[in-house]
Amino acid sequence: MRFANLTIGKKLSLGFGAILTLVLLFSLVNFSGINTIVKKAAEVISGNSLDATLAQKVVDHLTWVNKLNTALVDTQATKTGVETNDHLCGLGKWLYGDERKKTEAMDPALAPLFKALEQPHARLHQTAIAINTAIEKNSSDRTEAVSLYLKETLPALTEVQGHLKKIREQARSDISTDQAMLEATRSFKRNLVIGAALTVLVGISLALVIVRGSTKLLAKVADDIKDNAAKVAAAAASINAASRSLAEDASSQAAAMEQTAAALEESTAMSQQTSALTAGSQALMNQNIEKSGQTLKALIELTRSMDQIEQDSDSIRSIINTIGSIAFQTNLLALNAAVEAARAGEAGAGFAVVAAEVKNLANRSAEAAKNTQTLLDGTIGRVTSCAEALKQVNSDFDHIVASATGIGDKTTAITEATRQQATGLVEISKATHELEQITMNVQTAAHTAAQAADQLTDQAEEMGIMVADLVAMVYGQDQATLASATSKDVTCWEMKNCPPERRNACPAYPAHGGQCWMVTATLCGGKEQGSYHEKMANCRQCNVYLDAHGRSPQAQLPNLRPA
Amino acid sequence: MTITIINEAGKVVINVEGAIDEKGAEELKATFGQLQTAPTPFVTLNLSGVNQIGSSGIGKILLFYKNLAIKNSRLEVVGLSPMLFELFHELKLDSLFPIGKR
Repeated sequence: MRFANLTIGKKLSLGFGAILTLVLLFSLVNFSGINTIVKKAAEVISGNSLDATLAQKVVDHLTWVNKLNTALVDTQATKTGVETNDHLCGLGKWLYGDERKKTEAMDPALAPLFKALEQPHARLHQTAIAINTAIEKNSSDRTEAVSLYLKETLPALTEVQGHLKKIREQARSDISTDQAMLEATRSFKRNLVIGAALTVLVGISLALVIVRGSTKLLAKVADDIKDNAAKVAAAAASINAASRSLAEDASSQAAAMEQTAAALEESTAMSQQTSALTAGSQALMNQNIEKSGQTLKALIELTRSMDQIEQDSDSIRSIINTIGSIAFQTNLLALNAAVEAARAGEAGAGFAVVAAEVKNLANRSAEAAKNTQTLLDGTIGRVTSCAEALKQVNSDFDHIVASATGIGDKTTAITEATRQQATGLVEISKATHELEQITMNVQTAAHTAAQAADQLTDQAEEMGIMVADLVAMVYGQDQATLASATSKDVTCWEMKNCPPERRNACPAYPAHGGQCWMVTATLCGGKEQGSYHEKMANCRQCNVYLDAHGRSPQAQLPNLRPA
Repeated sequence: MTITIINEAGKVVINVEGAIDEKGAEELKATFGQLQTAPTPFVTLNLSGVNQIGSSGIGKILLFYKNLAIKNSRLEVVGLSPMLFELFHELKLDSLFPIGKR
């Protein structure tokens, strides 16, 4: 991950961590250097002390030999008087005591040298024992003692001194000297200066990187917030306008819905009335069918009777024809009787009278039959007309029944349709009322949205102020003011005719007269402004604010990125 | 609606199934018209498959009855549902021709 992509917290943590690490390393180096110097000093002290001790031991043994030599020369002496135990002499106590162990711990290279010293040292002290024995054996003759001294003591002494010399040389080469300590101190001082310079350099570099990175980041954030604030403000303005438009539309729609609901209620009432009327017509239709049935019975009887009359007319016609035929035959018989009566003469005179009467009767019968036929023909003609009329009546009746019952079906269908329509209208009316309520809700929601948009505008403006504060925090108030001001030509005290004594007490004076809404606790109109919202409500009515925003709040938020 | 006609000895049985609405009434009228061309002394109209009949259908039955009665033929309507039976009775159709329940 690149350093530029890190968060401010991480950058600061990283920077401070790096500086602290450097300081810690520097402190460790210092501590180590001082510790080394202290150790060197201790070494030097110990080395000097060891060298002095060993030098003292050399001197001690020279003194010891000198004492032995003196005793050899003194003929009165019965003993040498020197320390014969190699563990009890000064070197012996040191060599077999804790001091040797400490010295070996300090410089392990000395251990084999100390070990090599032990044998000649012991031998040196044993020569003293031998010399004492020789003196005791013959105190007057010191020849043997001197011989021992010369042959054993002095070589042993030389050997011991040689070992001590080697030990001192080894100690001097191994253990730091004052010069070495001085060199080490100088070196440490030099390193200390270099380390401090490096630490300061790295710290400054890191601080620069972090500060520049953070500043750029904050500037970018400020720009982003500014852009977003502008977008939010624009969106809020759009929402506000849309919400108000929606509220107006909803209001109009609510009025229309109210009218629609009234019309629907009227239609529903009419539909229900129609339904009641058609339901009544159904009852009338039932009565019509019932009466048609009864009429049908009469019509059937009438038709049957008419058929019978037609049939009877034919029979009458036949009877009349028979009567006519009989009259004709009777007339013929009367004619024949008259002929026969005439032929009979006087004797047939009476018969002729009878024949004449028969003829007369036959003629009258024929005349009556003829008249009856004439009447019957007229009657049959009228019956035929009646039958035809009855057929027409039947046909018309059929049509009437068919039409009436057809109308019944249609009426029933209309009744059902009207009922369904009434039900539908009730549902529509109900839905309309619900729609009316929804419209009212929309209207309320639109008002709420408009208020929310107002609040959003407030927040966008507040965000602009926060951006200015952020820029002020990053670049200083002057830069923020310069960056935020869009109209430096307008100052509130000029616009408001603010007197000098009042403006002098206002926090916006003298640098922020063009953006006084961004300054808290201003004295607009001589009165200290209240909360942010109260202040902004006042500012939005102010010419300074409107002028600064080109009559469109937040339309031109200033570019906060410093030049 | 389905109409079937069964000719028995001296008797015709008309079986109707379905609702006799306006369209069904016209089908019924056509069927009755066919029967009237060949006079039958006794006709049985079986409405056991009918649960609904409109006024058109009743009108067609009335006219069918009239045409039969003029020719001295007889009609009976059987297989009526309780509701239709009640309707025929209310319309006094039982005074014209015999009716019977299912």
